[in-house]
Amino acid sequence: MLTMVPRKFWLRIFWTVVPVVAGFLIVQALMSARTHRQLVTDEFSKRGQAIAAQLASSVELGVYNEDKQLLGASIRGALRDPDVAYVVIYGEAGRPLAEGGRPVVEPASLPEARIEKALSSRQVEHSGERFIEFRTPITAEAERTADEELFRPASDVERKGGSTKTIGVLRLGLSLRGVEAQTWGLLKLWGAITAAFLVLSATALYTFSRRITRPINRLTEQAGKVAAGRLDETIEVESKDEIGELALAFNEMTRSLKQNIGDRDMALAQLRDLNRTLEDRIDERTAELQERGRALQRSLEEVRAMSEISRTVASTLDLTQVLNTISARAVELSSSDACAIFERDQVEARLLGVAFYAIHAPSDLRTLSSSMGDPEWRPVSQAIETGEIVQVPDLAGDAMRPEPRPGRARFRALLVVPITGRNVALALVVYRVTPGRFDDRTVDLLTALGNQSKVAIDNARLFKELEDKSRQLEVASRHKSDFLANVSHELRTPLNAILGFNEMVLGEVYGEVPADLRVPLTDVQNSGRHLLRLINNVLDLSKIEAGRMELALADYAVFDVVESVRHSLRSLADEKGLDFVTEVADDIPLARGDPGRITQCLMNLAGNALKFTQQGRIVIAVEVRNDLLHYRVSDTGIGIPADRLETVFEEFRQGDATVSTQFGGTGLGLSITRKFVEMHGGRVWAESEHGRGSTFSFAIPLRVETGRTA
Amino acid sequence: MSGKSVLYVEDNELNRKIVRDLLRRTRYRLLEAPDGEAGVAMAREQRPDLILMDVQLPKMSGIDAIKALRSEPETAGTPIIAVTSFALSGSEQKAIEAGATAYMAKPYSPFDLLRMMRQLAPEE
Repeated sequence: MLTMVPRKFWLRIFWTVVPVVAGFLIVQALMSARTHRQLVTDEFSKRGQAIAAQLASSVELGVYNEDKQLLGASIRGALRDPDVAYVVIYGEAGRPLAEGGRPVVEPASLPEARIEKALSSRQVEHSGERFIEFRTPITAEAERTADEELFRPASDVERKGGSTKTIGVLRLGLSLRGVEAQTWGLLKLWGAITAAFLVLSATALYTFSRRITRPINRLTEQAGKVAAGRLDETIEVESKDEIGELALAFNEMTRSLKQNIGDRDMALAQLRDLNRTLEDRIDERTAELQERGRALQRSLEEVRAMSEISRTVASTLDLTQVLNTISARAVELSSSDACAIFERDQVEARLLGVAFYAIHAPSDLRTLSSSMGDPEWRPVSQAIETGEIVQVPDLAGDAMRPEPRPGRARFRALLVVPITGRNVALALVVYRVTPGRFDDRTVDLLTALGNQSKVAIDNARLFKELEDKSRQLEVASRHKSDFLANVSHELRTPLNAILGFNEMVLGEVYGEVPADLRVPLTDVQNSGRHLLRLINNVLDLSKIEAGRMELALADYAVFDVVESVRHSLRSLADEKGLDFVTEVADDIPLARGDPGRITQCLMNLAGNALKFTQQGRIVIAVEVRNDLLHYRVSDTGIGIPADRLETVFEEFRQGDATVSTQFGGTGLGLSITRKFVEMHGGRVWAESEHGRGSTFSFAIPLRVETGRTA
Repeated sequence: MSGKSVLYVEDNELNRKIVRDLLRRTRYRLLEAPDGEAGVAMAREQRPDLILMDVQLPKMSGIDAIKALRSEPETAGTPIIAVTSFALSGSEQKAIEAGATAYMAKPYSPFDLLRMMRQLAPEE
């Protein structure tokens, strides 16, 4: 719901002020009318009393005499006053004697009781008209002196009392019509004044408010214009009051706003300029970045080319392939059309083409020589000689140019990059169909490629040498192994004869052996056996080193292997007076491995035990734990110091360097044993207490299905 | 001459002499061949009661000779002792696979060899 509020400022003030003022005026009017009427009424009263008193004294004689004519005359005289509405005169006992003026209905006669002793007044209403009625007694003096009659007013006489006597009553009515008319007139006057005030105040308010609102309206209008952006107009300042100040302030504000907007526009313009600059910069930077990206791309290609060369070297180390890769990459990097790599032949003055890319070069056209007059001869020689890059921008520009080789006639420009080093004297030549110099970047790139290539070629050559050497070494090693195998075989054939014949002599195949010959013949036999073992060990080791040792896997009974060892060494143990015991568990299942090698291992360990034990016992024990065969050979010999337990398995080592001289042996047995055990996928170890004996153990899988290389 | 015949195929004269000397005082009759081919030919002709075959032989290896002998009905059942060399890894196994009845590693003890011969082919 909208409350209707007067929108005009002056009307608002009007509706605020007017009811108050108008109310005040109305109250004022009513109050003044009342006061006026009171005053007039009082005046009327006094006048009425005076008239009544005078009339009462003047009609004394007429009443006394009941002279109606006289009374009538007096009444008429009184009625001449326009305010006197009626007069009634009553005689003694209330009997009406005379009357005049407007007819008075009541009372026709006055009862005795109602005869006033003094003047009284009251307001009465007759026939819609209001009157003030005065009643006064008409008195007659009983004894009147002349003095009294002449000099004293009747009232004084009355006050004295006692000396007068009431003879009648006068009733006189004054009409209030005049008074009321007067009051009404007054009220009308006030009404007019109020109306005039309202009109005047409305006009004044309107005018005054217009004076306030007009500048405000103008300000409003101006504010609207400002809001619409029209800042050039100002308000005319008409007054110096608050409104004027407001207008001034507004103008000031508009100006500063205009200033601000100007500043802002300037800032905006600057911002736009900055923006444009920024955009330009961004464009610049983008271009720069793109350029860098392209450079990076180029670098990447270069790195790729270089790394491909490295990769080729790493993967093949084949010189021909390395050179082919270099020539292909050189064409790619330099955006040229073909490439060739020449090597200087130090002995004969010529250049050998070692790699070609995109050039058909049959073998007879590969070599350049000064005498043949090749166009590449001079720049290539120069590049190799000086180590500097040589450019030939246009081959056709040389009038004296030699005839190029077939297949290269179409090329116009050359760039020669030397690849020279300690062992390298090469030159890389890139060919281009279009004449002109190669740019700096290409020159730099190919220089880098040249440096990289130098390393690659060096590596490839070194590798080739290394490969040749290692092949030679391998062959030599194989020859050594073959040699050792042959030698040992050749050694054993006569040894077989020595041992065989000696044994037959001892066995008296050839007749009785004299007692004093038996000992030296036995020594021959023992030494021969020892020599045989040494030869066997050397042969085994050489085969292991050549990687030609293989296990001959077969099923075997552990008991048989141990028994054969005991059988072989029993006589030796007997000779030294040692106990030789074997302890093989009954529950060992059929094993798989190389029984010959395992026998050899046990022979080595037990042989050592016999060798280093002077008294006591040798025990070979075997048991199965967790599918592992545990072989153990223990003795009560000299033992091994703790710090040498680890190294005894290395080649040519025994417990003590002096030991081998004392007890003999090459020290190969343990290292061969370790190799054989490892080929079976097992391990070997030693425990010892120096001076109390040693225990050598090895553990191998119960069933070895595949042998390992040593 | 009622003794059993033994063929020894061996290229080394001294080694052959050992066996020759060893058997002199036995009732075995010794036949000798210096290489594989001659050994196979002699075995075919003489039908020996026992053959001692060295593994390393010229012309035809002992292993091949054993195979050849086993393929012929006349010698298929003749006991053969392969005289193996320590130098050749697994030669014992190869010999057994080829058909040898037993093997004796060289250098051997002559008396051990004689014991083995008597086991496979008693003198009488």
